[in-house]
Formats: sequence, structure tokens, C-alpha cells
Amino acid sequence: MRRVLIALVTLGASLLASCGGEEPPPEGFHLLLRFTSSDPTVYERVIVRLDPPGNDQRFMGIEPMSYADGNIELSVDADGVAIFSIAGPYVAMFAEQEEPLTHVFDLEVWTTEDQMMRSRPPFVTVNVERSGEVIAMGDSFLPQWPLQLGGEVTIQVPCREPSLCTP
Amino acid sequence: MSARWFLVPLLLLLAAPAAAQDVGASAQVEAEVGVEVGGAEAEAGVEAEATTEAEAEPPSPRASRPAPPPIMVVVLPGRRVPEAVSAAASASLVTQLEAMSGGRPVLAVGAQAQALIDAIAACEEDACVGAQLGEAGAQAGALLRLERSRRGVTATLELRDPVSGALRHEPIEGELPRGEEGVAEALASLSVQLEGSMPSPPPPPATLLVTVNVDGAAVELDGQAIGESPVAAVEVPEGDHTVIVRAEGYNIERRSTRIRPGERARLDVTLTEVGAVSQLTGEAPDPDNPWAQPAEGEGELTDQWWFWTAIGGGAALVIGAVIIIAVVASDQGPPPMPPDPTGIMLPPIMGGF
Repeated sequence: MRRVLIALVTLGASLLASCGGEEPPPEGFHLLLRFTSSDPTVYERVIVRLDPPGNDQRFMGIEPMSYADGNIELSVDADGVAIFSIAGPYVAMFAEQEEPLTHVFDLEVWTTEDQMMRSRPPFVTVNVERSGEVIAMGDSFLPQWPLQLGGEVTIQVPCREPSLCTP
Repeated sequence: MSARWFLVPLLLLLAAPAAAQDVGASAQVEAEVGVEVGGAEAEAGVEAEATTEAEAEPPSPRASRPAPPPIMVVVLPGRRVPEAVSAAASASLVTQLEAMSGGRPVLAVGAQAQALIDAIAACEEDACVGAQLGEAGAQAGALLRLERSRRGVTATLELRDPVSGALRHEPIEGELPRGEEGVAEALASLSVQLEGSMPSPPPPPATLLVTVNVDGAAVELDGQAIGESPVAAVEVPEGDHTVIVRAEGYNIERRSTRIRPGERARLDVTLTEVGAVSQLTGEAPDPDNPWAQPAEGEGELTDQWWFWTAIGGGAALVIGAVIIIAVVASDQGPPPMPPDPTGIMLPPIMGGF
């Protein structure tokens, strides 16, 4: 009898849960910025540019947005390029260290593009700035557009100024 | 049907010859005592039978009702009193006293109990007479002393209490004829004077009426079946009695009651269905009572097929209702927006398609 009651309660609870519960949000697309031969603690800012393909395409203009307590800013410039400006200390805090001078920072993004409105994927450029100079740089095409939720791409960002890439 | 119903007639068949033997035994006892039973012969016989049966098995409620103590007529003839006159006087006196006894039996002590007659005749004191009457179980003794006289027979009629032997009325004297003719009339003029001194009539028999809220219930009184409900009132002796009522599918009810002399008692018994707690006794079903056990298909709630059917049906109804509500709700309004993915939303790319 007790087991039956437990089964009934479980059944009811599962029904209620299925009716009123919210699904967990899906993962976005992971831009994995893999910094090599550098120490993120010296980064002042990391700039990620997403440049739509062709001269006739551009990201829709938006007001500048900030995320992560202002550590990440998103804007679209006059050329229709989407620009992420990420604070260096923020990258240093959340970048996972693979090797002593190799770290991976996960920039998760997503788009609202209709899957039917396919386009050529944007070109991504990553610049690491320190004291007004670009000390590391990487680039890559995104694999597809719109971005596939849960997908990922790794962009290698090697150090270009060894004297400045470490403390 | 319970096997008890087959056992009851079987036991009755087996008991019939035994009862016949008991009747014979009672007749034999009566002969040995030497009491000639008058108008209450049947009741006296019943009394003797009940006494004999009481030694073997519980008495029947009706048969065990003791007959009230009798008034004993003892004729004490003197010398040369014709035997015919003595016999006629005894018989006449029994008849006349019965008419005044209010139903109390009147017994004549005949020649078979000569020892009792001789003992009373030899008594010189009242207490002696009273002791003899008491031992004989009399409520009162009507002693008729007969003496031969010149004109006929002189009769002295006494009415005495047992034990003390005290006179309930002054001795009444009169003359009886020498022959048996006219004895009754002559004696009637004497006996009528005792009317105000006769022992009080016995109380009417107590009766017990058992009513049951279920027809066909087996009703037992003091261990003996008295029928199936509805049952008529039965005569019961005064005292404590136990009534047991059984019915298939119901809890047994045991009730005790005390009956007073002459009481017309009524006992209302309410049977409760098996599984329910008795309203009268507050007792749970008797585990020793086969009739109080659940019938086939009954038992604990969880053992009932309909219980689980109801549970399953109820659950199916609830689930179906939830599904229907969900479907109906889903048909109303736009579908809910999926949650945003984690990460930063990029603006759409414009142009170039």
C-alpha cells in the first residue's frame, strides 16, 4: 500500500514537473581562444572581431552592450563588424591553463539567425593588446553561419611579441 | 450454508430418544415419591423432568422453569374411618383447593408416601409438622384429620406453613357422611373458609422477547437455540441469562440479562456487519466466530479487487485529465519561447543574401 502511494505521488510529481518546469537553456557556440606562448596576466585587453563576409553584409547595428560586470563589451562598428572587447584580467581569471604558457578562454556566443537564412560565416580576428600594442593575434573563419548551438571552434592566438607576452 | 444447520436437526434427532428416557425417568421418580399429581400433574412432571435433565446437560429455558411449590393435601384418617371416605375427601379437597390456589399446584399425598403421612400423624408440635412439609417441598400443607364419630366422620381441616408448621387459619371442624357420597359437598363448606388464608398465587412466568435487526439470525438462550429471528417471547426462569445471536456476515452478539420473577423482559439486539466494530460491545470481530469472519471476497481493503480497480481508474482519470488539459492549453496561445542559450547574443547579419 505504501509502495502504491509512493508510486502515485511520484507519478503526480513527475506530471507537475513536466507541466511547470523550465528546460535548461541550451549551450551557445563556443569560441575557444587558445593563447599560446603568453601569460594572460599581462593582457590588457582582448579584441575579438567578427567580420561578415563580403562588402555587402554587415551585422545589424546595435547599441554597445556590456556583459560580465562590464568586463565584456559588444558593439558593432560603422563597417558592420561585431567587436568584443574583453578585459585582460577577466581573460586571465577565466582562461584555463593547458600548459604553462598556453591558456584557453571560452567566449560563448549565439545568434538569432533563422537556420534557413544561411550565409557564409564571418571571419574572426583576435588581437591581444598590451600597452597599446598587439602582442598576440589569431584569426579563423567560423565553421558555419548561423552558429550551431553547442558547436565550437578553436582559434589559435600565438604570441607575436615574446618580450611582451610574459611579465 | 454452515454445517451447524445440519448439526442442529441431527442433534435434535439424537436428543429425542434421550428425552423420552428422561420422561420415563421422571415418571419413575414420581412413583417412588408416591405423590399423586392432581390438576398440576403435567407441571409437576415437567419439574421432575427438569430436575433429572439438569444433572446431564444445560436445561432448556422453558423446561427449566421450576414449578411453584405445591400445596400438599395430607389426609390423616383415624381408626375405623372408611377408606372410601378418606379417598373421596382427599380428591375433593384437592379439587376445591385448586380452585382457590390461583394456579399454584395442589398435590395429594397418597398411600405411596405413607411414611410422610405417618411422620406427620406422629407429630405433636407444629414445628414437627412444618419440618415434614418443608422437606416435602410444600408451600403449605392442608391437613385433613378424620375421626369416626357417632353421626359419621368428624373432619378437622388445618392449613399450615412449612418449616414453622404454623397455622395459616384456625382449624375448621365439620361432619362428613360415612359414605363417600356427599363428602365433597360437606368438605366444600369447610375448605371454602380457607380462601383468605391460601398462599399467594405464584407469579406469572417471566418471559424474554429477543428482537434482532436481522431476520434469520440464530438466537440462543443459555446455550440452547430458541429459533431464528424473529422469535417469539419465551418463558424463562428468574435469574441471569445469556443470549447469543448469530447471523452469517455479522458479528456475534453476546448479551447478558437478569430476569426478575414475572418480568416480561425484552432484549433488542443489533447485529453489526463483519468488519464493523460492534456498536453495542465495541468489540472487533470475534476471531473464533466463523460467521464473523469475512465472507469470500471480503477482507482487508487492500485485498479487494474493486479497491485496486478504483485506484487504477482514478489514476487513469487524473492522468487523462492532465494530458487533456495540457493539450488544450498547448492549443491556446503561442508556444512558449525556448530559453536563450548561454553566452552572448550576436546581432544578425544584414544583407548579402
